[in-house]
Amino acid sequence: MTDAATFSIDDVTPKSAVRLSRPIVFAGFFIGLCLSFLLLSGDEQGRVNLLYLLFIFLVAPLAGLIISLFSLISGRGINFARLLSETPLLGVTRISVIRKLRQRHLDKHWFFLQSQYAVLAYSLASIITFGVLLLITDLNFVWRSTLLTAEHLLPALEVIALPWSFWESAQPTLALLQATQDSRLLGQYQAGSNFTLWWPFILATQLIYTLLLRGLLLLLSYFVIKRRIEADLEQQLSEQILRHHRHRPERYQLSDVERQLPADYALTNWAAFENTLLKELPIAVASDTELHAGPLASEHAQQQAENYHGMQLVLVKAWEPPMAELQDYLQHGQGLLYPVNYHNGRLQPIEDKHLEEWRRFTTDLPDWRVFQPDTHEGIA
Amino acid sequence: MKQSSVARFAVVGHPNKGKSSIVSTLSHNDEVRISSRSGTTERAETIAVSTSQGGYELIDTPGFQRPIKVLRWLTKNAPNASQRASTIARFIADPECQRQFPDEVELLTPIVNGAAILYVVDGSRPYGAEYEAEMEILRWTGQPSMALINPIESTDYVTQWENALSQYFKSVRVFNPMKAEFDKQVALLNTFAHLNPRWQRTLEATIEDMHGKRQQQKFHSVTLLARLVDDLCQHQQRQKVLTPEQASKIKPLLARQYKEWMKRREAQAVRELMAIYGHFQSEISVDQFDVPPDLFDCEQWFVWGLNRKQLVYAAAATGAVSGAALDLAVAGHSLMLGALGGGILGASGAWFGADKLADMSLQGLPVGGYEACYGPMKNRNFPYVVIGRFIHLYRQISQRNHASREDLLVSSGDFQQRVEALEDSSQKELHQACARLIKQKPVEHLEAVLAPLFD
Repeated sequence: MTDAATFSIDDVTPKSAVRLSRPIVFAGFFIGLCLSFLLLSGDEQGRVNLLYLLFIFLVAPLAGLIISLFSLISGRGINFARLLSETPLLGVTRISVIRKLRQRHLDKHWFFLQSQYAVLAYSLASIITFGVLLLITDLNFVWRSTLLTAEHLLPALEVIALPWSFWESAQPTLALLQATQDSRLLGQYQAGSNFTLWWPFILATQLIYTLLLRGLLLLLSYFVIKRRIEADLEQQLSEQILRHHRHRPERYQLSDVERQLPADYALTNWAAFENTLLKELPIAVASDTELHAGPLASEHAQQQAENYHGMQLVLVKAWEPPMAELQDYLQHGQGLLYPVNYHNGRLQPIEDKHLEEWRRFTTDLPDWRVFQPDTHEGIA
Repeated sequence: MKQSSVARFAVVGHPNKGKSSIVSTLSHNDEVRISSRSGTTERAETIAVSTSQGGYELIDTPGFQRPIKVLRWLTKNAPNASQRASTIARFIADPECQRQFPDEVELLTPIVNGAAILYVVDGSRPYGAEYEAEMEILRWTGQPSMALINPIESTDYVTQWENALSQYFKSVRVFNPMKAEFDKQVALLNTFAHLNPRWQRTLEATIEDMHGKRQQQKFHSVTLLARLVDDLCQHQQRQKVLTPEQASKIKPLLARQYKEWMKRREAQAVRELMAIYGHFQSEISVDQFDVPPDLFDCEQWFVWGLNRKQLVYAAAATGAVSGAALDLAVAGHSLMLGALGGGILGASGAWFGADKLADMSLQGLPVGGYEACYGPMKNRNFPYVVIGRFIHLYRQISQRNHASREDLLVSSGDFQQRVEALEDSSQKELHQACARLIKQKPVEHLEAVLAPLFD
């Protein structure tokens, strides 16, 4: 059981939602033990009223079941466990799982489930008490009534015994009823052994109407709660969150940036910048050798450029990512790549993310480095 | 070319122009890898968007890498215009082309298989003639196509691009996957429906489903908030101790644990809210969006929750309701003094108790010893603060695009105006619910009370 002190952030799980509440179960067990012992002890002659037993082993559990089922379907879920939870001593209302279940509109189902646990504990306690008393003392089952006769009772008892019709010795008979009818005034008994013959019927009543029936309802409510918790919004979301892993941030190796131009190089205007822009570049464009390569160059010019083996300064658009066709071209030569940034015809300093992309690109090209002039005179 | 009833769109273009971002936004899926590094997408990846009545597929493709050479190959191998489409099919089937031009083969394959073309360019950078080769290749495929101008940083060159693209594509649209709101995404999908008449009905049904899903997401968000505010108002941190002295010693520890729990619970709700809207890649820390960062900074509560005046009004209203119940119980013999007194008591309590927070209490245990208990929160404004913060986040997350991977930054918002704008009955219900929450009483139909704040 979880209380507020130990309740973690994790939501109620299908497992925790169906866990039994010990105080409620203990209360059921205790009531079953006391009530059974009280009634089965009988009087000083060991006479036990059969109709009283039917009340606590059949009528009361069945009536409780009908009320709690009806309340579960239509009302706020009044049942044994709900009533017990109102007792502050048990501390049941402090269980945070109830709050979680209330938020999911499953609290009445939870109390219904706990009721089944409690009635099963009640039934178990009764059966144990019954069994122990059968072993260690003589129980004489009698019935008394001012209005009812054996003929009146028999049909009702036969209906009750229908589920175990295969169990011959647990069936009620008219003869047995007549033989065990008691009158405190007359108190005349012909055959003492008759009075013990009711025990199989009592045991079968306990097994079928409390243990088995409540066991089935427990399983049913157990699976209903589990299924509904599994289908709950937060449960689904938690699973989705666990399934999705965050992508790790990317890390790349970056090559150094060259700040100085070599003494001699050929200029390759890969980006096909216009002459007006070339004049603005903060480099001395004194190169006599100009190569024509790039997407807009002719096939012939491109071929010529690819055959050049000296140092080159290749002008590229800084914002355009390096493409494979550039990489293919660079495989043939060596030199520097100069990513140029401009906006509305004016040179601009290169953006860090673009520079990084070019530096990353040149790590795979051992004969090439990125070039950026030290000062960008005239660049805004 | 194959024809399919499922609408399929191949998102193609130059590397690093936001293709993956567009796929991510239009598929509402932030699992699509987006990188500032070019060439991240090496294989065509199909992202299926399925809804109950329809759906569509978006194919994230690698960017063009050698368009000039590819166009040369195609020109050499296509004797005339009637054979251009078949030449493209031959190109993707040719093993030598697959080896030399893996990116182009990968991006052209879905188009040859019937996908419509969404060609993406960056509208913040100038148009360049080098793009013409790839546009020409796409034209050769003969497939329905549309150009999307993605203004990544600015719209400076959008017109230039429009002029160029309109010569190759019948339809040209400006679409920013980072900023496009849901309505703009839907408008774009509507345009897609016109690309291929066979897809129109499916896409219309898909759009209808998307609206339905949007409503469901809102409903789920309300549920999350109802649970969050209930949890935060109810939470207590307990610890068994032997003596009252021991209890006072552990008070700071309990207070810290209490606050940590509350913050973690709020962060969990935010993560879940993001999951409702399919965001899994953004880092969320309550501390990051809480400006100033502490949930327990009482001064800030008048910004995130109700201001002092609103709080007094809320307390007076709920106090008056309780007092009126008393008047009713005595059949009016109190001359409505119950309602009046309740209102005054509530208002003054709110005014003077506005800075009250959680405190520690000590309870004797039947088995001996004590139980130290920190919390629950006593401040009347607290439920409003929780609601205000959550709704502010909701508004951002519900409008957030799946391409956006930046961390959330949130500042205080318009919660107070939102409360003011509620109908009187809704406002009263909200105040009553908050009054019950702060008294740790369960609120029936809390979702229904909170829902109007999400409109």
